[in-house]
Amino acid sequence: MTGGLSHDWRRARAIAWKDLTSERRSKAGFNSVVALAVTILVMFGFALGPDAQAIRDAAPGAIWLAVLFAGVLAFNRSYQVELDGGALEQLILYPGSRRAIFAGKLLANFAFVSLMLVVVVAVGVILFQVHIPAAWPALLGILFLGAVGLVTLGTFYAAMASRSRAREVLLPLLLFPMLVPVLLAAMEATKGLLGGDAMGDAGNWARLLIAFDVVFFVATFLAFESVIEV
Amino acid sequence: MAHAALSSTTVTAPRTNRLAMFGWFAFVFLVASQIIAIAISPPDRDMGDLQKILYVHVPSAWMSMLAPFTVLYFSLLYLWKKREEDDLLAAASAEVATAFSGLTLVLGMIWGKPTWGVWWAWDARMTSMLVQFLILVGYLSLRALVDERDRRAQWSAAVGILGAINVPIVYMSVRWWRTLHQIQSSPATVDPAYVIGLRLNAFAFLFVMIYFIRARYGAALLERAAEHALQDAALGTGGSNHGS
Amino acid sequence: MEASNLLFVSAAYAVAWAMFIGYFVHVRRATSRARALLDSVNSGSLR
Repeated sequence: MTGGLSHDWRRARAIAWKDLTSERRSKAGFNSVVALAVTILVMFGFALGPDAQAIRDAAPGAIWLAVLFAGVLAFNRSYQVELDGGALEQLILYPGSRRAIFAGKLLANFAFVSLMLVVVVAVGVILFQVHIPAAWPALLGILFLGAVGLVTLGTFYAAMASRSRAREVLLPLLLFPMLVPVLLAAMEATKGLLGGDAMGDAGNWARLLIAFDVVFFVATFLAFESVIEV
Repeated sequence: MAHAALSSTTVTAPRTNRLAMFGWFAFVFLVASQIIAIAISPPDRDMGDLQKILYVHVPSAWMSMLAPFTVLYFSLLYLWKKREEDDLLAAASAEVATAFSGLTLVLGMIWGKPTWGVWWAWDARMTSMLVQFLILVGYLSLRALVDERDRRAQWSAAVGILGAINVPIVYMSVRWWRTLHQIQSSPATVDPAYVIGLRLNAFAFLFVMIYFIRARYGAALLERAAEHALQDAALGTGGSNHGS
Repeated sequence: MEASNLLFVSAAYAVAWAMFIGYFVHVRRATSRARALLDSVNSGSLR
Protein backbone atom coordinates (compact mmCIF):
# COMPACT_ATOMS: atom_id res chain seq x y z
CA MET A 1 0.00 0.00 0.00
CA THR A 2 2.28 2.71 -1.31
CA GLY A 3 -0.21 5.44 -0.57
CA GLY A 4 -0.15 4.58 3.10
CA LEU A 5 3.62 4.43 3.23
CA SER A 6 4.19 7.84 1.71
CA HIS A 7 1.49 9.16 4.00
CA ASP A 8 3.38 7.77 6.98
CA TRP A 9 6.59 9.27 5.70
CA ARG A 10 5.02 12.68 5.37
CA ARG A 11 3.62 12.39 8.86
CA ALA A 12 7.00 11.33 10.20
CA ARG A 13 8.64 14.34 8.62
CA ALA A 14 5.93 16.56 10.02
CA ILE A 15 6.49 15.20 13.50
CA ALA A 16 10.24 15.58 13.17
CA TRP A 17 9.88 19.12 11.91
CA LYS A 18 7.54 20.03 14.73
CA ASP A 19 9.92 18.60 17.30
CA LEU A 20 12.86 20.41 15.85
CA THR A 21 11.18 23.76 15.46
CA SER A 22 9.75 23.70 18.93
CA GLU A 23 13.25 22.88 20.10
CA ARG A 24 14.70 25.59 17.94
CA ARG A 25 12.26 28.18 19.13
CA SER A 26 13.52 27.30 22.53
CA LYS A 27 17.07 27.59 21.30
CA ALA A 28 18.01 27.52 24.93
CA GLY A 29 17.03 23.88 24.86
CA PHE A 30 19.65 22.85 22.34
CA ASN A 31 22.27 25.25 23.61
CA SER A 32 21.97 24.14 27.20
CA VAL A 33 22.26 20.45 26.35
CA VAL A 34 25.32 21.10 24.20
CA ALA A 35 26.80 23.22 26.97
CA LEU A 36 26.25 20.32 29.34
CA ALA A 37 28.00 17.92 26.98
CA VAL A 38 30.99 20.24 26.72
CA THR A 39 31.07 20.66 30.48
CA ILE A 40 31.09 16.90 30.95
CA LEU A 41 33.94 16.69 28.45
CA VAL A 42 35.92 19.21 30.44
CA MET A 43 35.27 17.30 33.64
CA PHE A 44 36.66 14.20 31.98
CA GLY A 45 39.72 16.22 31.14
CA PHE A 46 40.21 17.10 34.78
CA ALA A 47 39.50 13.59 35.96
CA LEU A 48 41.81 11.85 33.51
CA GLY A 49 44.48 14.45 32.75
CA PRO A 50 46.71 16.35 32.50
CA ASP A 51 49.11 13.82 30.99
CA ALA A 52 48.81 14.37 27.25
CA GLN A 53 49.00 10.73 26.25
CA ALA A 54 46.49 9.65 28.85
CA ILE A 55 43.84 12.08 27.73
CA ARG A 56 44.59 11.47 24.06
CA ASP A 57 43.90 7.77 24.66
CA ALA A 58 40.77 8.62 26.60
CA ALA A 59 39.44 11.04 23.99
CA PRO A 60 37.08 8.73 22.07
CA GLY A 61 35.54 7.42 25.28
CA ALA A 62 35.21 10.84 26.86
CA ILE A 63 33.60 12.35 23.78
CA TRP A 64 31.18 9.48 23.43
CA LEU A 65 30.19 9.47 27.10
CA ALA A 66 29.71 13.22 27.14
CA VAL A 67 27.32 12.92 24.20
CA LEU A 68 25.63 9.97 25.89
CA PHE A 69 24.99 11.66 29.22
CA ALA A 70 23.76 14.86 27.61
CA GLY A 71 21.79 12.96 25.02
CA VAL A 72 19.79 11.20 27.72
CA LEU A 73 18.26 14.52 28.63
CA ALA A 74 17.48 15.28 25.01
CA PHE A 75 15.77 11.92 24.50
CA ASN A 76 13.46 12.32 27.46
CA ARG A 77 12.61 15.84 26.41
CA SER A 78 11.76 14.78 22.88
CA TYR A 79 8.55 13.36 24.31
CA GLN A 80 7.95 16.30 26.56
CA VAL A 81 6.08 18.36 23.98
CA GLU A 82 3.38 15.75 23.54
CA LEU A 83 3.30 14.89 27.21
CA ASP A 84 2.65 18.47 28.22
CA GLY A 85 -0.08 18.97 25.68
CA GLY A 86 -1.60 15.54 26.09
CA ALA A 87 -1.18 15.22 22.36
CA LEU A 88 0.19 11.69 22.44
CA GLU A 89 -3.21 10.08 22.93
CA GLN A 90 -4.54 12.04 19.96
CA LEU A 91 -1.59 11.26 17.73
CA ILE A 92 -1.85 7.51 18.09
CA LEU A 93 -5.46 7.47 17.01
CA TYR A 94 -4.53 7.77 13.36
CA PRO A 95 -3.83 4.44 11.63
CA GLY A 96 -0.20 3.77 10.85
CA SER A 97 0.73 6.79 12.88
CA ARG A 98 2.65 4.92 15.53
CA ARG A 99 5.47 4.04 13.17
CA ALA A 100 5.37 7.61 11.96
CA ILE A 101 5.73 8.88 15.51
CA PHE A 102 8.78 6.71 16.05
CA ALA A 103 10.30 7.68 12.72
CA GLY A 104 9.62 11.33 13.36
CA LYS A 105 11.17 11.23 16.81
CA LEU A 106 14.15 9.33 15.42
CA LEU A 107 14.74 11.95 12.77
CA ALA A 108 14.46 14.82 15.20
CA ASN A 109 16.70 13.18 17.78
CA PHE A 110 19.23 12.22 15.15
CA ALA A 111 19.46 15.78 13.91
CA PHE A 112 19.85 16.96 17.50
CA VAL A 113 22.54 14.43 18.42
CA SER A 114 24.43 14.98 15.17
CA LEU A 115 24.67 18.70 15.75
CA MET A 116 25.70 18.04 19.34
CA LEU A 117 28.36 15.59 18.13
CA VAL A 118 29.85 18.16 15.78
CA VAL A 119 30.39 20.57 18.64
CA VAL A 120 31.57 17.99 21.16
CA VAL A 121 33.99 16.34 18.73
CA ALA A 122 35.44 19.72 17.76
CA VAL A 123 35.96 20.66 21.41
CA GLY A 124 37.24 17.20 22.24
CA VAL A 125 39.80 17.16 19.47
CA ILE A 126 41.21 20.42 20.79
CA LEU A 127 41.02 19.71 24.51
CA PHE A 128 42.35 16.19 24.28
CA GLN A 129 44.99 16.95 21.65
CA VAL A 130 43.73 14.35 19.26
CA HIS A 131 45.82 13.83 16.14
CA ILE A 132 43.44 13.82 13.22
CA PRO A 133 44.32 10.87 11.02
CA ALA A 134 44.35 10.71 7.24
CA ALA A 135 41.33 8.43 7.43
CA TRP A 136 39.14 11.12 9.01
CA PRO A 137 36.23 10.58 6.58
CA ALA A 138 36.04 7.01 7.86
CA LEU A 139 35.97 8.45 11.36
CA LEU A 140 32.99 10.54 10.42
CA GLY A 141 31.34 7.37 9.20
CA ILE A 142 31.90 5.71 12.55
CA LEU A 143 30.47 8.73 14.34
CA PHE A 144 27.42 8.57 12.12
CA LEU A 145 26.91 4.86 12.74
CA GLY A 146 27.39 5.26 16.46
CA ALA A 147 24.92 8.12 16.55
CA VAL A 148 22.35 5.98 14.72
CA GLY A 149 22.63 3.26 17.34
CA LEU A 150 22.49 5.74 20.21
CA VAL A 151 19.49 7.61 18.82
CA THR A 152 17.57 4.44 17.93
CA LEU A 153 17.82 2.91 21.37
CA GLY A 154 17.57 6.24 23.17
CA THR A 155 14.39 7.27 21.39
CA PHE A 156 12.85 3.87 22.05
CA TYR A 157 13.52 3.71 25.77
CA ALA A 158 12.67 7.35 26.29
CA ALA A 159 9.15 6.60 25.04
CA MET A 160 8.71 4.68 28.29
CA ALA A 161 11.02 6.46 30.68
CA SER A 162 9.61 9.89 29.90
CA ARG A 163 6.18 8.67 31.00
CA SER A 164 7.25 6.96 34.20
CA ARG A 165 8.31 8.07 37.62
CA ALA A 166 11.99 8.94 38.07
CA ARG A 167 12.54 9.38 34.35
CA GLU A 168 16.06 10.81 34.72
CA VAL A 169 17.13 7.64 36.47
CA LEU A 170 15.14 5.12 34.48
CA LEU A 171 16.32 6.12 31.03
CA PRO A 172 20.05 5.69 31.71
CA LEU A 173 19.35 2.54 33.71
CA LEU A 174 17.51 0.97 30.78
CA LEU A 175 19.54 2.47 27.97
CA PHE A 176 23.17 2.19 28.99
CA PRO A 177 23.47 -1.60 29.28
CA MET A 178 21.69 -1.94 25.94
CA LEU A 179 24.24 0.39 24.36
CA VAL A 180 27.26 -1.73 25.30
CA PRO A 181 27.64 -3.45 21.91
CA VAL A 182 27.25 -0.19 19.99
CA LEU A 183 29.61 1.58 22.38
CA LEU A 184 32.27 -1.12 22.15
CA ALA A 185 32.12 -1.29 18.37
CA ALA A 186 32.22 2.49 17.96
CA MET A 187 35.10 2.84 20.43
CA GLU A 188 37.21 0.08 18.94
CA ALA A 189 36.66 1.32 15.40
CA THR A 190 37.52 4.87 16.45
CA LYS A 191 40.63 3.81 18.34
CA GLY A 192 41.70 1.72 15.37
CA LEU A 193 41.36 4.62 12.97
CA LEU A 194 43.05 7.08 15.32
CA GLY A 195 45.93 4.71 15.84
CA GLY A 196 46.58 4.07 12.18
CA ASP A 197 44.71 0.77 12.27
CA ALA A 198 47.64 -1.56 11.70
CA MET A 199 45.52 -4.68 12.06
CA GLY A 200 42.55 -3.67 9.95
CA ASP A 201 40.32 -4.17 12.95
CA ALA A 202 38.50 -0.91 12.46
CA GLY A 203 36.78 -2.30 9.38
CA ASN A 204 35.58 -5.36 11.26
CA TRP A 205 34.21 -3.28 14.10
CA ALA A 206 32.55 -0.93 11.62
CA ARG A 207 30.79 -3.85 10.00
CA LEU A 208 29.72 -5.08 13.44
CA LEU A 209 28.43 -1.61 14.23
CA ILE A 210 26.33 -1.61 11.08
CA ALA A 211 24.93 -5.01 12.03
CA PHE A 212 24.08 -3.79 15.53
CA ASP A 213 22.38 -0.70 14.15
CA VAL A 214 20.25 -2.80 11.82
CA VAL A 215 19.26 -5.29 14.54
CA PHE A 216 18.34 -2.61 17.06
CA PHE A 217 16.56 -0.49 14.48
CA VAL A 218 14.34 -3.36 13.37
CA ALA A 219 13.71 -4.57 16.92
CA THR A 220 12.77 -1.15 18.28
CA PHE A 221 10.63 -0.36 15.25
CA LEU A 222 8.66 -3.55 15.82
CA ALA A 223 8.41 -3.07 19.57
CA PHE A 224 7.47 0.60 19.50
CA GLU A 225 3.86 -0.18 18.74
CA SER A 226 3.52 -2.06 22.02
CA VAL A 227 5.12 0.77 23.92
CA ILE A 228 3.23 3.73 22.58
CA GLU A 229 -0.27 2.30 22.46
CA VAL A 230 -0.61 1.76 26.19
CA MET B 1 -14.98 -5.89 36.58
CA ALA B 2 -16.28 -7.89 39.49
CA HIS B 3 -14.28 -10.72 40.95
CA ALA B 4 -15.54 -13.46 43.13
CA ALA B 5 -14.17 -13.05 46.60
CA LEU B 6 -10.93 -14.97 46.74
CA SER B 7 -9.62 -16.24 49.98
CA SER B 8 -5.97 -17.06 50.16
CA THR B 9 -6.74 -20.70 50.63
CA THR B 10 -8.88 -21.11 47.53
CA VAL B 11 -6.34 -19.41 45.32
CA THR B 12 -3.45 -21.64 46.14
CA ALA B 13 -4.48 -24.69 48.16
CA PRO B 14 -4.32 -27.38 45.46
CA ARG B 15 -1.12 -25.96 43.99
CA THR B 16 0.69 -25.27 47.22
CA ASN B 17 1.13 -28.88 48.21
CA ARG B 18 2.55 -29.92 44.86
CA LEU B 19 4.85 -26.95 44.83
CA ALA B 20 6.03 -27.56 48.38
CA MET B 21 6.80 -31.16 47.54
CA PHE B 22 8.77 -30.09 44.51
CA GLY B 23 10.59 -27.57 46.67
CA TRP B 24 11.61 -30.26 49.13
CA PHE B 25 12.73 -32.49 46.30
CA ALA B 26 14.85 -29.71 44.80
CA PHE B 27 16.39 -28.97 48.18
CA VAL B 28 17.32 -32.56 48.90
CA PHE B 29 18.62 -33.08 45.38
CA LEU B 30 20.77 -29.98 45.71
CA VAL B 31 22.29 -31.02 49.02
CA ALA B 32 22.97 -34.50 47.71
CA SER B 33 24.52 -33.19 44.49
CA GLN B 34 26.81 -30.85 46.33
CA ILE B 35 27.97 -33.49 48.80
CA ILE B 36 28.55 -36.05 46.07
CA ALA B 37 30.42 -33.59 43.86
CA ILE B 38 32.70 -32.49 46.68
CA ALA B 39 33.31 -36.02 47.85
CA ILE B 40 34.17 -37.68 44.57
CA SER B 41 36.26 -34.99 42.91
CA PRO B 42 40.02 -35.09 43.20
CA PRO B 43 41.96 -31.83 43.49
CA ASP B 44 42.72 -30.33 40.12
CA ARG B 45 46.24 -30.35 38.75
CA ASP B 46 46.39 -26.59 38.40
CA MET B 47 43.63 -25.21 40.53
CA GLY B 48 43.92 -27.51 43.49
CA ASP B 49 40.88 -27.47 45.68
CA LEU B 50 39.68 -24.21 44.22
CA GLN B 51 38.15 -26.44 41.55
CA LYS B 52 35.33 -27.18 43.98
CA ILE B 53 34.07 -23.63 43.59
CA LEU B 54 33.13 -24.55 40.07
CA TYR B 55 30.38 -26.81 41.33
CA VAL B 56 28.44 -23.71 42.38
CA HIS B 57 29.83 -21.13 39.96
CA VAL B 58 29.34 -23.04 36.71
CA PRO B 59 25.78 -24.30 37.35
CA SER B 60 24.87 -20.81 38.53
CA ALA B 61 26.30 -19.39 35.31
CA TRP B 62 24.36 -21.90 33.23
CA MET B 63 21.11 -20.98 34.98
CA SER B 64 21.91 -17.30 34.49
CA MET B 65 22.29 -17.93 30.79
CA LEU B 66 19.06 -19.92 30.64
CA ALA B 67 16.86 -17.57 32.62
CA PRO B 68 16.75 -14.59 30.22
CA PHE B 69 15.26 -16.86 27.59
CA THR B 70 12.49 -17.71 30.02
CA VAL B 71 11.82 -13.99 30.32
CA LEU B 72 11.88 -13.75 26.53
CA TYR B 73 9.41 -16.61 26.15
CA PHE B 74 6.83 -15.27 28.60
CA SER B 75 7.24 -11.71 27.32
CA LEU B 76 6.52 -12.83 23.77
CA LEU B 77 3.62 -14.90 25.02
CA TYR B 78 2.21 -11.90 26.84
CA LEU B 79 2.37 -9.64 23.81
CA TRP B 80 0.64 -12.33 21.83
CA LYS B 81 -2.07 -13.50 24.20
CA LYS B 82 -2.25 -10.55 26.61
CA ARG B 83 -2.80 -12.80 29.61
CA GLU B 84 -1.73 -11.31 32.90
CA GLU B 85 -0.37 -14.70 34.02
CA ASP B 86 2.33 -14.52 31.36
CA ASP B 87 3.39 -11.09 32.51
CA LEU B 88 3.65 -12.33 36.09
CA LEU B 89 5.67 -15.35 34.96
CA ALA B 90 8.00 -13.11 32.99
CA ALA B 91 8.49 -10.90 36.02
CA ALA B 92 9.11 -13.87 38.30
CA SER B 93 11.64 -15.26 35.82
CA ALA B 94 13.39 -11.91 35.65
CA GLU B 95 13.66 -11.66 39.41
CA VAL B 96 15.09 -15.17 39.68
CA ALA B 97 17.39 -14.47 36.76
CA THR B 98 18.71 -11.42 38.56
CA ALA B 99 19.40 -13.46 41.68
CA PHE B 100 21.29 -16.12 39.73
CA SER B 101 23.20 -13.56 37.68
CA GLY B 102 24.28 -11.75 40.81
CA LEU B 103 25.30 -15.02 42.40
CA THR B 104 27.33 -15.96 39.33
CA LEU B 105 29.15 -12.65 39.49
CA VAL B 106 30.03 -12.97 43.17
CA LEU B 107 31.13 -16.58 42.79
CA GLY B 108 33.21 -15.61 39.78
CA MET B 109 34.98 -13.01 41.88
CA ILE B 110 35.53 -15.49 44.69
CA TRP B 111 37.07 -17.87 42.17
CA GLY B 112 39.02 -15.12 40.46
CA LYS B 113 40.78 -13.62 43.44
CA PRO B 114 42.91 -16.64 44.38
CA THR B 115 43.27 -17.70 40.75
CA TRP B 116 44.18 -14.44 39.04
CA GLY B 117 45.09 -12.37 42.08
CA VAL B 118 42.41 -9.79 41.34
CA TRP B 119 38.74 -9.58 42.20
CA TRP B 120 37.84 -8.45 38.68
CA ALA B 121 39.66 -8.75 35.38
CA TRP B 122 37.13 -7.74 32.73
CA ASP B 123 37.07 -11.31 31.54
CA ALA B 124 34.65 -11.76 28.63
CA ARG B 125 32.16 -14.05 30.32
CA MET B 126 32.07 -12.19 33.61
CA THR B 127 31.78 -8.84 31.89
CA SER B 128 28.87 -9.89 29.75
CA MET B 129 27.25 -11.43 32.82
CA LEU B 130 27.63 -8.06 34.51
CA VAL B 131 25.90 -6.33 31.61
CA GLN B 132 23.15 -8.95 31.69
CA PHE B 133 22.73 -8.29 35.41
CA LEU B 134 22.34 -4.59 34.70
CA ILE B 135 19.82 -5.26 31.94
CA LEU B 136 17.78 -7.31 34.38
CA VAL B 137 18.04 -4.64 37.07
CA GLY B 138 16.74 -2.18 34.50
CA TYR B 139 13.78 -4.47 33.83
CA LEU B 140 12.97 -4.72 37.53
CA SER B 141 13.35 -0.96 37.97
CA LEU B 142 10.91 -0.34 35.14
CA ARG B 143 8.35 -2.55 36.84
CA ALA B 144 8.91 -0.79 40.13
CA LEU B 145 8.45 2.64 38.60
CA VAL B 146 5.32 2.01 36.55
CA ASP B 147 2.08 1.59 38.44
CA GLU B 148 -0.58 1.02 35.80
CA ARG B 149 -0.93 -2.71 35.37
CA ASP B 150 -1.44 -2.93 31.60
CA ARG B 151 1.22 -0.39 30.83
CA ARG B 152 3.67 -2.10 33.16
CA ALA B 153 3.00 -5.48 31.56
CA GLN B 154 3.29 -4.25 28.00
CA TRP B 155 6.40 -2.17 28.61
CA SER B 156 8.04 -4.97 30.58
CA ALA B 157 7.40 -7.34 27.72
CA ALA B 158 9.01 -4.98 25.19
CA VAL B 159 11.98 -4.31 27.46
CA GLY B 160 12.31 -7.99 28.32
CA ILE B 161 12.34 -9.05 24.69
CA LEU B 162 14.90 -6.47 23.66
CA GLY B 163 17.03 -7.17 26.69
CA ALA B 164 17.02 -10.91 26.05
CA ILE B 165 17.92 -10.39 22.40
CA ASN B 166 20.81 -8.20 23.48
CA VAL B 167 22.32 -10.77 25.86
CA PRO B 168 24.00 -12.90 23.17
CA ILE B 169 24.93 -9.75 21.25
CA VAL B 170 26.64 -8.33 24.32
CA TYR B 171 28.47 -11.60 24.92
CA MET B 172 29.75 -11.66 21.35
CA SER B 173 30.93 -8.07 21.31
CA VAL B 174 32.57 -8.25 24.74
CA ARG B 175 34.36 -11.43 23.74
CA TRP B 176 35.82 -9.76 20.64
CA TRP B 177 36.70 -6.76 22.73
CA ARG B 178 38.58 -8.94 25.19
CA THR B 179 40.43 -11.12 22.72
CA LEU B 180 41.83 -7.99 21.18
CA HIS B 181 43.20 -6.97 24.54
CA GLN B 182 44.35 -10.45 25.55
CA ILE B 183 43.24 -11.50 28.96
CA GLN B 184 43.03 -14.64 31.05
CA SER B 185 40.27 -17.04 30.19
CA SER B 186 37.54 -18.43 32.38
CA PRO B 187 37.83 -21.86 33.95
CA ALA B 188 37.81 -24.73 31.51
CA THR B 189 35.49 -27.49 32.54
CA VAL B 190 36.19 -30.35 30.18
CA ASP B 191 38.09 -32.67 32.49
CA PRO B 192 35.93 -35.84 32.60
CA ALA B 193 36.58 -36.39 36.30
CA TYR B 194 34.45 -33.38 37.03
CA VAL B 195 31.64 -33.89 34.56
CA ILE B 196 29.45 -35.98 36.86
CA GLY B 197 29.61 -33.44 39.65
CA LEU B 198 28.87 -30.61 37.27
CA ARG B 199 25.95 -32.37 35.63
CA LEU B 200 24.40 -33.31 38.95
CA ASN B 201 24.68 -29.79 40.25
CA ALA B 202 23.45 -28.38 36.95
CA PHE B 203 20.22 -30.33 37.33
CA ALA B 204 20.02 -29.43 41.00
CA PHE B 205 20.31 -25.74 40.22
CA LEU B 206 17.76 -26.12 37.45
CA PHE B 207 15.23 -27.66 39.83
CA VAL B 208 15.87 -24.92 42.34
CA MET B 209 15.41 -22.26 39.67
CA ILE B 210 12.15 -23.78 38.47
CA TYR B 211 10.92 -23.93 42.05
CA PHE B 212 11.88 -20.30 42.68
CA ILE B 213 10.14 -19.08 39.55
CA ARG B 214 7.01 -21.03 40.31
CA ALA B 215 6.98 -19.93 43.95
CA ARG B 216 7.55 -16.28 43.04
CA TYR B 217 4.77 -16.56 40.49
CA GLY B 218 2.51 -17.99 43.16
CA ALA B 219 3.23 -15.03 45.39
CA ALA B 220 2.52 -12.68 42.48
CA LEU B 221 -0.84 -14.36 41.88
CA LEU B 222 -1.73 -13.83 45.52
CA GLU B 223 -0.64 -10.21 45.31
CA ARG B 224 -2.86 -9.75 42.29
CA ALA B 225 -5.80 -11.39 44.03
CA ALA B 226 -5.26 -9.11 47.01
CA GLU B 227 -5.14 -6.09 44.70
CA HIS B 228 -8.40 -7.08 43.04
CA ALA B 229 -10.02 -7.65 46.40
CA LEU B 230 -8.85 -4.27 47.64
CA GLN B 231 -10.19 -2.61 44.52
CA ASP B 232 -13.53 -4.33 44.88
CA ALA B 233 -13.76 -3.38 48.52
CA ALA B 234 -12.91 0.24 47.76
CA LEU B 235 -15.39 0.45 44.90
CA GLY B 236 -18.06 -1.24 46.90
CA THR B 237 -18.38 -4.02 44.34
CA GLY B 238 -17.44 -6.58 46.99
CA GLY B 239 -18.07 -10.28 46.76
CA SER B 240 -20.67 -12.57 48.17
CA ASN B 241 -19.49 -12.54 51.77
CA HIS B 242 -20.53 -9.11 52.75
CA GLY B 243 -22.37 -7.52 49.87
CA SER B 244 -22.11 -3.78 49.79
CA MET C 1 43.53 -28.16 51.68
CA GLU C 2 45.54 -24.98 51.71
CA ALA C 3 44.17 -22.61 54.32
CA SER C 4 43.50 -19.71 51.97
CA ASN C 5 41.92 -21.99 49.37
CA LEU C 6 39.67 -23.44 52.05
CA LEU C 7 38.58 -19.92 52.88
CA PHE C 8 37.60 -19.17 49.30
CA VAL C 9 35.87 -22.48 48.73
CA SER C 10 33.87 -22.08 51.95
CA ALA C 11 33.02 -18.51 51.04
CA ALA C 12 31.73 -19.66 47.67
CA TYR C 13 29.41 -22.27 49.14
CA ALA C 14 28.32 -19.91 51.88
CA VAL C 15 27.40 -17.23 49.36
CA ALA C 16 25.52 -19.71 47.18
CA TRP C 17 23.48 -20.98 50.11
CA ALA C 18 22.93 -17.44 51.31
CA MET C 19 21.35 -16.66 47.98
CA PHE C 20 19.17 -19.77 48.02
CA ILE C 21 17.98 -19.23 51.55
CA GLY C 22 17.66 -15.50 51.06
CA TYR C 23 15.52 -15.79 47.96
CA PHE C 24 13.40 -18.45 49.57
CA VAL C 25 12.74 -16.18 52.52
CA HIS C 26 11.94 -13.34 50.12
CA VAL C 27 9.30 -15.39 48.34
CA ARG C 28 7.80 -16.63 51.62
CA ARG C 29 7.50 -13.10 52.91
CA ALA C 30 5.87 -11.88 49.70
CA THR C 31 3.45 -14.78 49.85
CA SER C 32 2.43 -14.33 53.47
CA ARG C 33 2.11 -10.57 53.03
CA ALA C 34 -0.25 -11.01 50.11
CA ARG C 35 -2.13 -13.75 51.89
CA ALA C 36 -2.59 -11.59 54.98
CA LEU C 37 -3.80 -8.70 52.87
CA LEU C 38 -6.24 -10.91 51.02
CA ASP C 39 -7.62 -12.40 54.22
CA SER C 40 -8.01 -9.08 55.93
CA VAL C 41 -9.87 -7.58 52.98
CA ASN C 42 -12.20 -10.55 52.83
CA SER C 43 -12.88 -10.51 56.54
CA GLY C 44 -13.92 -6.90 56.16
CA SER C 45 -11.35 -5.38 58.47
CA LEU C 46 -10.36 -2.85 55.79
CA ARG C 47 -13.80 -1.44 55.08
